[in-house]
Amino acid sequence: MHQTEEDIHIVGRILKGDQAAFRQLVERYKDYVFTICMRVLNQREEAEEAAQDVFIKVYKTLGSFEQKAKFSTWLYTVAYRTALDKVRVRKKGNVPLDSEDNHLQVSDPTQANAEQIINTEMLQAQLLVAIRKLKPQDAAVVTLFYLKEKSIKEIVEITGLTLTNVKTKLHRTRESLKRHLEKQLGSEIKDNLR
Amino acid sequence: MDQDELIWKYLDGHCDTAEKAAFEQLLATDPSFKKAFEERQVLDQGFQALTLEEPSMRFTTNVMENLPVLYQKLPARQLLGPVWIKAFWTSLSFLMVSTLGIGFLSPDTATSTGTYSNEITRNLIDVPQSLFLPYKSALILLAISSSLILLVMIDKRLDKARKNRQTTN
Repeated sequence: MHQTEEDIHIVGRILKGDQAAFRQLVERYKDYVFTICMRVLNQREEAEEAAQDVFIKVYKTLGSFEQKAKFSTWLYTVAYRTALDKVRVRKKGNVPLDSEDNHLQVSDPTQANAEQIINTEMLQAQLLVAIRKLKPQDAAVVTLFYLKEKSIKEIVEITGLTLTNVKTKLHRTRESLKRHLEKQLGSEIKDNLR
Repeated sequence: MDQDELIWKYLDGHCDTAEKAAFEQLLATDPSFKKAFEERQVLDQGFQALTLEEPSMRFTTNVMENLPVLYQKLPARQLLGPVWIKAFWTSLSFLMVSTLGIGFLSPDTATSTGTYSNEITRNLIDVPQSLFLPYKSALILLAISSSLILLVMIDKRLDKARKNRQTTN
């Protein structure tokens, strides 16, 4: 069954009182929702709490889901807004990536054989750490873009930002991450991965 | 559009034909562009290979335990049994027919001179006239009862149609 069709089928069952269907929905989307919350909040316990709130909100308001958008888009909108609300409450404000004090603590690649230590997994790990250093909104945009290959249009719908704004944020964030990784990994990314 | 932007656009698959041609020409002729592309390609692959974060093992259970009581199935048992429903409809029909009949033959139908239109009518209504409603009231009651029956019938029909649709789905 097509994913969207299956979502609609599950939603229909939930609205008829089938709680097992809701469990199925949670199992299906918990990792995606948790990833969005985690990338925005950058703190595991808080992200887990936010993700739980998201599913309870979704359960309460499922009757108002009009199926104009894809269910996943609607769900991610709730997740994004819930996580951002928590950031606002916390008022902790992440430091922008380009800040001088924001360098990641990794081992100096010149001290060991770079070709042995740095590999694709290393890049991914560093990328993840770098994403966590981003501003919540930038982290959300880049996460949503690579999460289940969401289109720019859907990201506009989820975040409420303009199309130009999303494109600009995506471009700047990726360039910023590239510069950051180059600094951390000592040389050009490509050379480190050879 | 600067070169970085063109590279990302190409990697995202958003280039049109002209942009794609420009990209390919730069890639073939400009070594610094090629290097810039390869670096971003590696980064893009890194993004795509990122795995999802996983919540704790108890996550689903925690959510299910905190769900409010909503969308619960209601009991399908009827308040009255079929015998009571039949008795109700029979009584209502009898009341309507009686009211209609006696109402039309009530003293309100008498002529302006104060005499009845005929003796038979008067004899017919003498005894029961005190038990039933006058003409105008009977009409009002009749209208209310008819509307009520009509509404109940529409409701039953719509309910049946809804159940059929659910069964089909």
